[in-house]
Amino acid sequence: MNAKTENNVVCTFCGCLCDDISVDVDERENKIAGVRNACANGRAMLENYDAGPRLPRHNGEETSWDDAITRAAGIIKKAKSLLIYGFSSSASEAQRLAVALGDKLGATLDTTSSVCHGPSGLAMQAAGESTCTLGEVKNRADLLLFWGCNPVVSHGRHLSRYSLMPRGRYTVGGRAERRMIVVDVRRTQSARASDLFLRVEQGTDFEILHALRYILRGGKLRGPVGGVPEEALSSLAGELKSCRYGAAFMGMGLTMTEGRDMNARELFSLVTELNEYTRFCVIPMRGHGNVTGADQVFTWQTGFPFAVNLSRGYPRYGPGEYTAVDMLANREADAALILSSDPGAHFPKGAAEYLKKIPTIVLDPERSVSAESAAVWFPVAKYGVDCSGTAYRMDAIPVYARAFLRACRMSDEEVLTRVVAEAAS
Amino acid sequence: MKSRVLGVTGGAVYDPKNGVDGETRDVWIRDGVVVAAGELTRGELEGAEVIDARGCWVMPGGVDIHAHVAGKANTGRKLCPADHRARTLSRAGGLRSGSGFTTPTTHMTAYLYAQMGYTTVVEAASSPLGARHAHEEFGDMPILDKAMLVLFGNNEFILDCLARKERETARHYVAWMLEATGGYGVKAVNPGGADDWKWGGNVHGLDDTLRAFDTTPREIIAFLAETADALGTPHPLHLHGLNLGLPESGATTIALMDAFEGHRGHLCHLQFLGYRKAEKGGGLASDAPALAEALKKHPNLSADIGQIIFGNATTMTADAPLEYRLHRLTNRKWCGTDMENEGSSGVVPIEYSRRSRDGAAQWITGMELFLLIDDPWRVCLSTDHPNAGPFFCYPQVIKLLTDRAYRSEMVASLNAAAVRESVLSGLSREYSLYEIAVVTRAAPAKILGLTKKGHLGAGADGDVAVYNPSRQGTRSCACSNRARCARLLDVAAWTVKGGEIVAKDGECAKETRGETFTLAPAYDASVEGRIRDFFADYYSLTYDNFPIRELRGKKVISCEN
Amino acid sequence: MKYRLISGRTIDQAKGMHVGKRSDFYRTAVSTVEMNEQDMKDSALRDGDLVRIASPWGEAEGRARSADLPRGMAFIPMGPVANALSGTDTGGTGMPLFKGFTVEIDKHERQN
Repeated sequence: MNAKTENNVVCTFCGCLCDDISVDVDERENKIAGVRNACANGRAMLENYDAGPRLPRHNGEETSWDDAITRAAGIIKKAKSLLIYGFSSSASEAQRLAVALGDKLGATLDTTSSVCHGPSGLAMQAAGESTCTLGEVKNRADLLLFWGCNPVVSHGRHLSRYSLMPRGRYTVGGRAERRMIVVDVRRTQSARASDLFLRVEQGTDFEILHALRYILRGGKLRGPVGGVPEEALSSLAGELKSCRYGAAFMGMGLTMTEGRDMNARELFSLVTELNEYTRFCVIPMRGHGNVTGADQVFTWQTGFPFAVNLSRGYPRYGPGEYTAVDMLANREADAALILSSDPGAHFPKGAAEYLKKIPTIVLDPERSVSAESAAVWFPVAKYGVDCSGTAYRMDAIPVYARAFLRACRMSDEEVLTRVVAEAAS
Repeated sequence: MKSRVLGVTGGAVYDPKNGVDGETRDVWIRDGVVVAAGELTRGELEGAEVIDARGCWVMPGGVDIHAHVAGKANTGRKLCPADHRARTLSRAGGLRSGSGFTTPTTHMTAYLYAQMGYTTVVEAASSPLGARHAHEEFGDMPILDKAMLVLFGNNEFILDCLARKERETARHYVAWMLEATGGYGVKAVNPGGADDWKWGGNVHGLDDTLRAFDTTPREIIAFLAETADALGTPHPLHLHGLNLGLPESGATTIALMDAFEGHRGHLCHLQFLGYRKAEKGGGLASDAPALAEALKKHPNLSADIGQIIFGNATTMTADAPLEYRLHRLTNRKWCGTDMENEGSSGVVPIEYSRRSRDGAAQWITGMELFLLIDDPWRVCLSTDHPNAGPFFCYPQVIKLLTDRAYRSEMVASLNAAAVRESVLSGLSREYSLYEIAVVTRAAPAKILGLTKKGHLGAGADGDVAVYNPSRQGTRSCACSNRARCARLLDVAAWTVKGGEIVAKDGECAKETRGETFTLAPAYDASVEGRIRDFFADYYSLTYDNFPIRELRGKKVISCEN
Repeated sequence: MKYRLISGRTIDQAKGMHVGKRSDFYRTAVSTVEMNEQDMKDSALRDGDLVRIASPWGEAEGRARSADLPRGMAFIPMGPVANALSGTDTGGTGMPLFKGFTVEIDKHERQN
């Protein structure tokens, strides 16, 4: 085996975008022979990746790239209400092209944010957000508050590389200097790693966060909230106020439960208000590698981070109407272009089923559930592996993910360029 | 290959760098570069595209020395969906759709600048980590040539070096960083203050010792100013000073001028840093007379004004403690971002009202600065977009400067107490078109060190704006203040960029690709080891992945020392 | 028996995505139904038993496994099984209610 080691590879699985991965490359076979530094999620992604040549499929049958492009262009030309969805595992170069395509066609555009941190975006738009980059957590944070998220499972190196373990400028003691608090409805793996675990009744995060804000303003609780005794909440508020630099991280426990954006908003408001006493920041735990990039690209090109409709010729923002689940559940899309995501697997059945009833084009390196029932599936290359591209970390820092394998398949950027050209002709 | 020739003939040309003040002249451009007519062959003249500019004013393309349009500006866009509902742009003729009033989307930003006759824009502030993002947005900002200023005033590598008296290492770091980020100039914002903010504090005096580093704002300013000169960067240190927005800001700014120690410098949005305490009732009043006097004593310094435009604005700066203070003062939503090792920023939407005593005082300060600083070559027109107002309101400012009757009308509508505390009513100066061409073209280009911009002499880039005098200020606008808004140079009859017509009658006609100006200053390679260690110790991503190696459309401008 | 259902990521679910969504590994990972140990005892359920889960929006099958969960709560990894049970109402936000709705979980008649 002819192995070469590539260092400082960027893993694109989750919003951490760890850029210190080492990969052993079998150059002759064009395969990944070994992975170091990655967490279980990144390792599984890289070790299982097949960069070999593969053909697109039309209605499940293999076909040539040229034919697939023509068929995709045909679907797009016929569509009156195209939904372009996904974006979060594509590089920003491809995302920019896809938004441009949507603009040209008057499509509806949405990203996986809508089923992930869209509500956090809505919260930011309502109440603002006091945030920081991950290096500030490394250098300064002496208190970590994980609310409704499970980093041990979802962002495998978050604790070790970014938040709990690192020794930074003002945190030379590393773990020993930090206090880790987890708030969740069940004792997760992350809860077990914490110094303090607050188990809350499912669906009461809003009330508890609101109670903390109340305590911060001098209010006295008269009883437990969300199953948490008032002394525990007072004590927590006291800790939050008196830390040197607090960092909160939040996830689906807030965005996916009743209240959604209102839950996130309550946390963001609490964090903002804590800055009257100390310095405190919050970072949403963005799940996909480049969903933050999708936010950024959408915003700078259309003005809005997700749920954008262009059918009137200008961008209109409509969470709840132009978001993908709603577009599909309400049967308002007559065709779909799915970019590097798998709504077939991750959408509620009512929406995922409708996806099977309309012509869909899927761009995904892997044969996802959506790809299975797609009219056209392009098994595109993967940025950071066999094509290069820019991605944005959960704290909005851009990172360039260079390819380290030879590309045997077109990238999504190339496919989109060709499809746009053909659809225009 | 056949050359491409464009002529702009018969117009009244305003080209201050070359001393042309309204004379009727032809401007010829071959393959994007201005040439003397005598240089062209008969065949080229005959085959040329010609713009008949008779009866029109002809100026170089506008140069905006200070605006926040790319990178962190995106946080401002995301924060304010209402701003994007307030004004939309429909796609048309191959051009992109867009949205946004105070924070337009990237394509829309480019089209609006071009329609106004502007062809070069400088992004006023990017953190090193955010540079790649700013460049991506540049990639979606067609037509315009662009450059980016890189933040250094709260950079902990530098603060470390200054505390240890290792100025030379810090200098090499600045050079390395400018190249690594594709930056064009050295920027500092509230030096030391944003770092103190990470402890909940701020700096107030030039000689305050920082909370966490044994250095002072004065030392930081002196170091950065000296470094810009030592490296020979075309543009000097571009400084947003201390105490912005506070009554003591004017005095601080005057004191701060000495901190440059005679090195070149540019003071940005001077208006925001030019107040004194009002005599009656507290609050802000203009300190412009004192500032104008002080500037006379510091010929090494230039300024852009940052004029207030009444109505909505979005504040976005790397002056993090200021932004937090604005949030507490106005209760408007605040988006703050601490950036590891590189400073901190904030975004807060705001509204300036002519009836408000402070708002009126701020507006007056900007106007007084324009009128009291004698030498237009040291003044640049700006609104610190979008902090004091949107860039497409520059024509309103131009009208105010050139028409004292309109100015008086505006003054009459302001909070009377603020007017009484000022000297503005007594200032009758009117800018000539020549002087407007200086403050919107020739001066910014000169101060930026962009020798091919801001003028129409042979060798200049073929960027031209042609204005029809009878079509000024007639276009409607998406602003609630339009009843009181009069404008000059708002609509270009033609905008030419690199010898191609990109806009006609105030509508963008086509997209071209602009260039991004970058630098490659010399540095001692031994600094790289230090930077690598710094990354390992204090950053959350690797040194090797940090430099931007894939920049498209870049043009390196040389540093001369 | 009624339970409050939540869904989310697990290591096996994440790995399974890359092994392949048609693989047994993935299918097993995403059809695991974690339940409180005492709740399982009360329903005569043992690890690996097939269960039927029903929500107002759909039905699914999975295999029970005891986990550190409060009583009355069940957890299914994100994926097609959890999504067979989720509704499409996003409350005007775009986000369906993936966590915190009520389901019925009973031992399946068929146990193989």
